[in-house]
Formats: sequence, C-alpha cells, structure tokens
Amino acid sequence: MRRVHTTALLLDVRDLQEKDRIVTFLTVEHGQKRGVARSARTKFSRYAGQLQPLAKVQLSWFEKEGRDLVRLGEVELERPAMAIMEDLEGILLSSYLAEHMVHFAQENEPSPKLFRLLDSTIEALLAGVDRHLAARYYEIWVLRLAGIFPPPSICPLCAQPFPDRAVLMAAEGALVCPSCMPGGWTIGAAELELLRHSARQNLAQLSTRPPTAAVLNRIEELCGRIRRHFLQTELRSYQVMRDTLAI
Amino acid sequence: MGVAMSDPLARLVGELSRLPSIGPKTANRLAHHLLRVSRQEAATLSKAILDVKDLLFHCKTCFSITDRDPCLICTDPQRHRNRLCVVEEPFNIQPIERTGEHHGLYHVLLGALSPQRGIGPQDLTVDALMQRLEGIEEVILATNPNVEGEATALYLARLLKQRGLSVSRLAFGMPVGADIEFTDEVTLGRSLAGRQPL
Ligand SMILES: [Zn+2]
Ligand SMILES: [Zn+2]
Repeated sequence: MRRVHTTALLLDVRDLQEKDRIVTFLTVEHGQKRGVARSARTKFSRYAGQLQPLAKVQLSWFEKEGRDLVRLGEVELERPAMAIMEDLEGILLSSYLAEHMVHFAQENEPSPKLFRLLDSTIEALLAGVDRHLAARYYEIWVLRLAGIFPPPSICPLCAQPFPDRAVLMAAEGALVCPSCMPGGWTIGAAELELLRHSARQNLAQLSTRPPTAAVLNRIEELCGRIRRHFLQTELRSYQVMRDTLAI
Repeated sequence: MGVAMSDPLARLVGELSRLPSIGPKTANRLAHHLLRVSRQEAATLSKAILDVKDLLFHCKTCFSITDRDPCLICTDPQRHRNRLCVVEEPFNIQPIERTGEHHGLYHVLLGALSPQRGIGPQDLTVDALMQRLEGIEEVILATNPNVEGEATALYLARLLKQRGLSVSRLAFGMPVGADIEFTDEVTLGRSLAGRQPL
C-alpha cells in the first residue's frame, strides 16, 4: 500500500452505494485518478462540504498495486469553486469544463499542461472573466494540447497562408484554404485571428480586446465539430447544456 | 471461501450482491440466513418482492409510487391544492410528510439534472409538471442540496417564474444539534448566506 499526497482539481463526485462517494480528480503528476471517499455520504463525514466539483484541494490517497481505484484519505479545501456555480449557466459550464478533462486527461500519466489549463480557467472565471470567452479559450486549448487542433495560419495541402477565411475539412479535422477546398463549413478572418492570438495570449490578455459574440459562437461550433470528430461522440454535459438553456 | 458453493446458493449470493450497498460479505451472510429460515418465511419475502413489482407503479399525476392511480395524496380532499412540493425521488416524500409542515401536493421528478451523466430536462417529469400547474399558486423546490439538485431547482425556478408562480427553495442551513466549531465551511457559508432576520 502506497500513500500519495498532492494537489488536485475535483472533476466529478458521484454516490457509491449507501455511504460512500466516488471522486474523479485531476493531478499534475498522476493525471486523472478515481478514488473512493469512504462514508462521505454520512452525516458527520470528514469530507462534508469538501467534495465540491472543480474545487482545488490538497488530498492524500492510498493505492494498492494493480488497482486503478484508490482510497481517499484527507481532503483539504484550498480553493472552492462554488462562486462559479451560483447560477444555472455557471453549473452547466463547470460540468462542461470538468467533463473535457475526464475525456482528454490520461489516467496515471503526468498532465501538467491540462492541469494548468483547468486551474487557470477556474481562476479566471472566479475573477469574473467573460464566460463565453473563457469556455472557447478552454475548448481551443484542450484540443491543442490533445494535438488535434488544426494550425490556423497555413493550409496543410498547398502550404499557402490562409486568405481571409479557411474551410474545415470535416473528415480530417483540418482547416484548409478555399482554393484547395472551395465549398464547405467556413470560418472567417476574425475567427482565424482569435485562434492565432489564443496560442500566445492568456485569458486576461484576450479579454482586453474581446471578440464579438458572433465570433465566439463560430469558434464554439468549430471546436464542437473537431471534438465530435475526434471523440466520435458528444460530451454529455454539452448536450444537457444546450437542452437546459433552450428555454 | 474454501468450499465451493452449491449452485442455488451461489446464485442467491450473486443476486443479493447486486443490490445497492450490499457487498459480497453481506450477501453471503444474508444468503446463509435465508438458507436457515423456514420455507414459509422465504416465500413471504419472495412474494413481497414480487408484489412491489406487480402491484405498485408511478402515479400518472405526481409520479410517486402507488397501488392506485391517482395516488392517495393526489386524491386527498384535505390537502391544499394550490401548493406543490417538487422532489427528486418518491422516497423523498415521506421525510417531508413526517415534518407535518407541508399540506399541499407533490410532484416527483424521478431524478435531477446531471450534465456529466447526460441527464437533461427531457429525462425528468418536467413536461408533466408544467402541464399540472392550473390552480397552483406556490411551488416549493425540495431538491437535494448538491450541484445536481441546485441545477434542477434553478432550472425549474426559471420555468415556473415565467408562468407567474411564487417559487421557493428549501433553506440551506446547519443541522439541528450541530456545533459551529465542527461545521464545514461550505455548510456554514450557505447558512450565513441564508440567514433569517429575527
Ligand atoms: Zn490550400
Ligand atoms: Zn399522485
């Protein structure tokens, strides 16, 4: 039995049988992990209130050789994220951010970049950055870190720089120039510019000259198409978010 | 488990261990207990299990568990028909009934919004709720004080307020008998936010 102590971001908490909870969390050194919080559902549990989605915590766990599911020890709240979840949109967005990591972070593999992305996005949301911009920045970066984000400057087919727009080649998840592919789903100059800026600037810098909602909507659509093509499915939380906010 | 279990016993252990909160050890203990009881006692238990499957169903109005449709609560002439308490599960009704504080009707959602599990409004009895609002003046949202319950309450509040209804939510607070010293910061923070004037 090995005891590990580290910082973690909580991704998902669900009930396990009558007394326990099962917690999915992201760490720098060990990537995504799942652990059982024993008796977390009981009245005077030591975990009471600590196991909140997207909370940053100090935690320890015990693991047995060859077993994926670990047993959680102490959990100490370092930064609650409840302030993001005070309205419906905030709760839905939080689930959406967390579910990305459940799909894209590997188990038991160091994930410092994904950890930093989620950590800084939560930090920015807590500081009040525009949610639409934060969500799109996060989507772009998750895909970029997964190595599946198409380069936004040069057409991979003819090696020419993009003119004022680019076409998404759905089957490849690639952006190509309109000469190489005359018809199809297109993004314009403002979207290409945001994609290029997002590679160099952080959320706070991007917020100083925020893109329009129309540009962000287009980026959401682009990321959704690339993500669905890669995962061969849609994130559940994305579908629920669409259905729930359609009132 | 040194000696191999005979087939029917292994089957019973297998079935019991599929029940929530029953691990293999408990299942084994229960199975050996049932092996010892009289045939009559075992038959009573198995009939009780079949009866809940054969005789009980969801009330088509409020979705609680009932043996008649509409259920006893929905047809009770003593209850206030202008006040509706919305809960996640049928088993949430009894604890609220025991408080004696709610004399109105109920509506069971059969779950809560859960984005990461893919449970959206169409997976709950939200449409049925919206169709039974005639005569209702106040809706009390008694969903659980967790993220799913909170999302569900916020969603329903938005829908119901569009219909001009008065909507309230169960207060979050300290458990009766608790100590401030031993209360976690989230619960205490919620209790402060929901403080009452004296
Ligand atoms: Zn080209
Ligand atoms: Zn009923």
